[in-house]
Amino acid sequence: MHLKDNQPQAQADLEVRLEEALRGATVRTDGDVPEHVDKRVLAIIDAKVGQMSRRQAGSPVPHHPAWRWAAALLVCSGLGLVVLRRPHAASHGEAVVAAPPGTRPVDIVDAYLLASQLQAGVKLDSRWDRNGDERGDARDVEALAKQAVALSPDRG
Amino acid sequence: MTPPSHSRCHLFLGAVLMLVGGLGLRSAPTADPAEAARSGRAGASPVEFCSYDLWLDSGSAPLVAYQLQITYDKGRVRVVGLEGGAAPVYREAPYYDRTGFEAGRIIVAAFTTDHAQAPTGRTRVARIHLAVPRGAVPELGVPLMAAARPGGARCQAAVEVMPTPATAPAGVERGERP
Repeated sequence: MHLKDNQPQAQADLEVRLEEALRGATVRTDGDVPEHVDKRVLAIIDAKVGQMSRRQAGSPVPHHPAWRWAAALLVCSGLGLVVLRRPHAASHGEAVVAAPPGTRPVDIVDAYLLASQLQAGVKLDSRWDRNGDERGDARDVEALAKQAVALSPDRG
Repeated sequence: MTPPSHSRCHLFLGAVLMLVGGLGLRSAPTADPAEAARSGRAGASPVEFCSYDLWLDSGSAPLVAYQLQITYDKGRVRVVGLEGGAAPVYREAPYYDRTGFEAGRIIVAAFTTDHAQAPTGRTRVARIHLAVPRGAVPELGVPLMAAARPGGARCQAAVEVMPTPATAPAGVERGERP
């Protein structure tokens, strides 16, 4: 800013002093960063990188999405195997609430299962009915057993 | 009015022929063991009765249910009866269809809900009685159809058919499989 020639000398002096003050207050950068600033920034960088390195070192598996899917699949497979290989309740002598034969041929094991469930007090529905009384009972056990040994084509 | 002499001769010959024919029919052996069994003729019967024991070996698993199919030559063999086995839970006669007595095959089955008494290992589960031509050895097929352990889980069992020692057919040595 330049004062006009007709302004008072005080203003000119003020201008000079302001310029000098501004010149002293600003930081001159000739392209080089002061050393202490360099050191401070580098220390910060080292600290951050160290944290990142420790984080990566503590993770044995690369964080690729495919690995995550593989791990999930492995876990699910393991759970599935555990479920499938779990000892069946039948091996422990417990009464099994079995399903009626349905459309497959009847055999003596079906009669045994019905008899076992009746003995255990399981309330059975009409799906076990074989004599038309719309419920599963001892008479149906007899009917199932006879059906199992019948030579007629409609054993099933 | 007396008939002529040639007529009397014809009558005589006819009577002789009828007598001889009747004697021949009476002495002709019956090839059908069922017919022989029904006629109940004593003496030189062409049919003899024998029985075979059905054994199952379920190993260490208690046997709570079994089902067997017995096949035989229906032209020579006839089933005349079935009875239970040695184990107390299988002492009663098994389930069977009477139409299998002459059909060439019969299915026998039984089960028990008394798991404590269910037998393990080798057990005689039933006995089948047969009528066979004298001196013949019946050929029996006995495939296992089903077997189960307590709870209803199906299992395997080894099947054996052995002639009952006291009634082995004449052509079978004791202990020999048919």
